[in-house]
Amino acid sequence: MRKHIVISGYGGQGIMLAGGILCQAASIERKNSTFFPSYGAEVRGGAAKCQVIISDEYIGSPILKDIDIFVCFTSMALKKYSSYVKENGIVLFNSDMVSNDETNVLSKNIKKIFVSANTLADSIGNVLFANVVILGAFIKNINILQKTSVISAIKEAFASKKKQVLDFNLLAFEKGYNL
Amino acid sequence: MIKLLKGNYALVEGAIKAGIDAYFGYPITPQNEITEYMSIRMREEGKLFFQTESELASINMTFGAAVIGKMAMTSSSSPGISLMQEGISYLIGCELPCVIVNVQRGGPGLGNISGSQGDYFQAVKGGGHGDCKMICLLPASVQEMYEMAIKAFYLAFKYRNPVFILTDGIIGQMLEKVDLLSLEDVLKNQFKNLSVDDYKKMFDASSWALTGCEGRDSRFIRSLYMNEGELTKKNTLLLEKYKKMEQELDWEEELISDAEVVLVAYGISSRINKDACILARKSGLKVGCFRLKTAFPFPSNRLKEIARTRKILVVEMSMGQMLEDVKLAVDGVNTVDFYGISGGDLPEVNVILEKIKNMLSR
Amino acid sequence: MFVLPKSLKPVKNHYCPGCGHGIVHRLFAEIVDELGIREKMIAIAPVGCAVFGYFYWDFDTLEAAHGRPPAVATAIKRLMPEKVVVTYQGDGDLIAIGGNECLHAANRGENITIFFLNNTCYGMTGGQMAPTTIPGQKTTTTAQGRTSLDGNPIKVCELISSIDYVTYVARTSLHSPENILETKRAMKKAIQNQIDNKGFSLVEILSMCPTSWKMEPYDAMKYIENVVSKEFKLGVYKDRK
Ligand SMILES: Cc1ncc(C[n+]2csc(CCOP(=O)(O)OP(=O)(O)O)c2C)c(N)n1
Ligand code: SF4
Repeated sequence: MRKHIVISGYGGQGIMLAGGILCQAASIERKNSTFFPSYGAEVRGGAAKCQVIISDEYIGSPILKDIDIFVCFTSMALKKYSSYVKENGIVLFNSDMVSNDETNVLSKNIKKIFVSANTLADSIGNVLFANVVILGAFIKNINILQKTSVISAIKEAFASKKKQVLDFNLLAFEKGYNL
Repeated sequence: MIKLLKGNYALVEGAIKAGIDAYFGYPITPQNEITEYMSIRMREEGKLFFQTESELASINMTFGAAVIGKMAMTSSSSPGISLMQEGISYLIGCELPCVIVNVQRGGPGLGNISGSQGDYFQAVKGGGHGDCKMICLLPASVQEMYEMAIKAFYLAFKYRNPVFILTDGIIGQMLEKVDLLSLEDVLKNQFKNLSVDDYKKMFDASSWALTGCEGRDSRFIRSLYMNEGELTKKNTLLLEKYKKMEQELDWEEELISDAEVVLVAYGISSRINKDACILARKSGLKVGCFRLKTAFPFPSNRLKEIARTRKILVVEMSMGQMLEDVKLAVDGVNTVDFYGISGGDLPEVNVILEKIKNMLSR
Repeated sequence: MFVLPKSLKPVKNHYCPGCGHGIVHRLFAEIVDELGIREKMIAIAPVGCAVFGYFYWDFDTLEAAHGRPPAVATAIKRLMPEKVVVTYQGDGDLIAIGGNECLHAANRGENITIFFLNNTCYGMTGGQMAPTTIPGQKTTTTAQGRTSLDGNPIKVCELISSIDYVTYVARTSLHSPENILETKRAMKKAIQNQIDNKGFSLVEILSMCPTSWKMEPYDAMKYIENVVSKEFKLGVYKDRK
């Protein structure tokens, strides 16, 4: 098993955090994983992107050239990366940020999953949780990581924050998972 | 303790584990995390963190710390290292220890901020004016960023010479698993036989550092030798020291014994080689991997030996810099093929496989 | 009606929302148009967020090494005195790594113009401390806020105006429409001085960096009004006749 994942959207949407959680969850399962963020001048103007590779085998380069799973938070991200998604790949959309029509650029063989992540996040108090809502849907729909390890990774990610912040994030994860 | 860390962070943790006294840095991408994380960790440890006004200041402050026997480090990326070169030469001329890190980015000029291996010549063929040499370590994983930082300080004090860590924006920016091992365990991995006590003793600079001459004769540290023959004599001694450094030679090889083609690289390129090697073996091609862990000293003898019966493919993120050293080492006993990509893009596994097939059919 | 200055290329810029660079770029272009010097302009972009100035200004522009624009400008102006040579620099570029070049160009009274954009941090590299960072201001290298051990903000106008051969030094700001107009007046005068062979002119412009300050654009303007402009007093520091 080897999966190439790209998560992209605006800075402030928790793109890096979501990627970090996936990478950490894989590590908890003793899989190999790498995470590569966009950085420096690349993020001026607000775009954010990270690349995660999860594999049972050795990972050489953390930079990927094609995408198995694309988590797409904005139309801009869709325009930029849609052509890299493999045939039979999967795209998860934050459907509050990307309209259905726009997703027609993707070829027929690519599976689309729509998650109204902002709405769901809003319903528990803050759109900022949209990233973790999507993670929930990701884990439910795509069979590469165990739910328990992702939850452990979320707990680690928020270990230094107030307990309440963690609780909201766990709730957000469940919202996405139980869609 | 197993963690998921960026290479830049792991390097900082390694330096702290080594016992670093002072860090000097000026922001530049893709090494900013070193400076930023140092600003937090050094303060936590009660050590000196200093954001300088330029890399000229960084290297000269590092010089100042070294002169009084402190464990000092500076880091930068390509353009900043260019600015440091005069200072590096002075450190070498004055025989002062320090650790210098280059998280390489694309060049020439301002280039770009992605990883690159375009500074091999700069680091390995001197690092400054005059007859300069520095041990040059080549980490290829987040784990090695941690361990080689620890190793670098020891070697710097052992030879009283700067030690250079040559890495790149990809290794610096990527996150992967790292085991923040105890000093004892790192020493086991990085040295043949070195106890924690002996490691720590190496940093005793009381026999040479300028600390005020209370209770002893005064000392001076210099790199200027104007009298007739004086500099020649000095440089002969330096040369002897450089020769001793040869014993720190280090590399890693895999699947060499039956290989027909051996892929040679360092740093991030060596990881891509390994990807290619795994795929090649799966399709029945006899391919092996050779990874340099030091660029000076250079594994010339071993490479020549390997090349006697095997073809060599050098993979590098430059127009062919380490390539020249490999060719010198191989010394014509076999052909050396090259796959280089310059400007911040990564070598591609497919292209490597293609090259291997071509070489095998020749 | 919104008309694009001739000296500005019709492209979208890469700056963050609420960033001051875009405003100063436009003012610069308008002034060049108004003075009719587009064909004579040689601008020097810094290393910093404004490094891509040449994508936006439609006149000759080059990129110098970090901090060295005043040295580069000196050579250009001395070899081609008929050109109008302007450097555009951030605080890291101008007064950290490039302090020496700036000081000596000023001390020689070079007939050049410097636009110095002070956003109290290093924007491009991710918001680290600059020599101009406000005491107590949190940056990515001063997580607890800038302390006295990190130095006090360097007051470029006060410093440079004390040099005999300097002709014109002013500090302006971008936090309101009136201040933007004042900025434009000062910038224009600084270029006019060069055209009139009057010597070294420098305009320091207090500018928003909402990204590094972690503020909304509006709050960033308020921050200049309430904090930055209290530390860096606005006004004309020198106007040698
Ligand atoms: C020799 C060298 N050192 C460091 C850098 C990295 N660098 C790029 S921009 C910059 C600072 C920019 O800050 P400032 O001048 O304040 O401009 P701003 O981005 O805030 O507009 C630095 C340190 C470089 N390009 N060259
Ligand atoms: S980082 Fe700051 S200075 Fe740079 S473009 Fe963004 S707001 Fe402007």
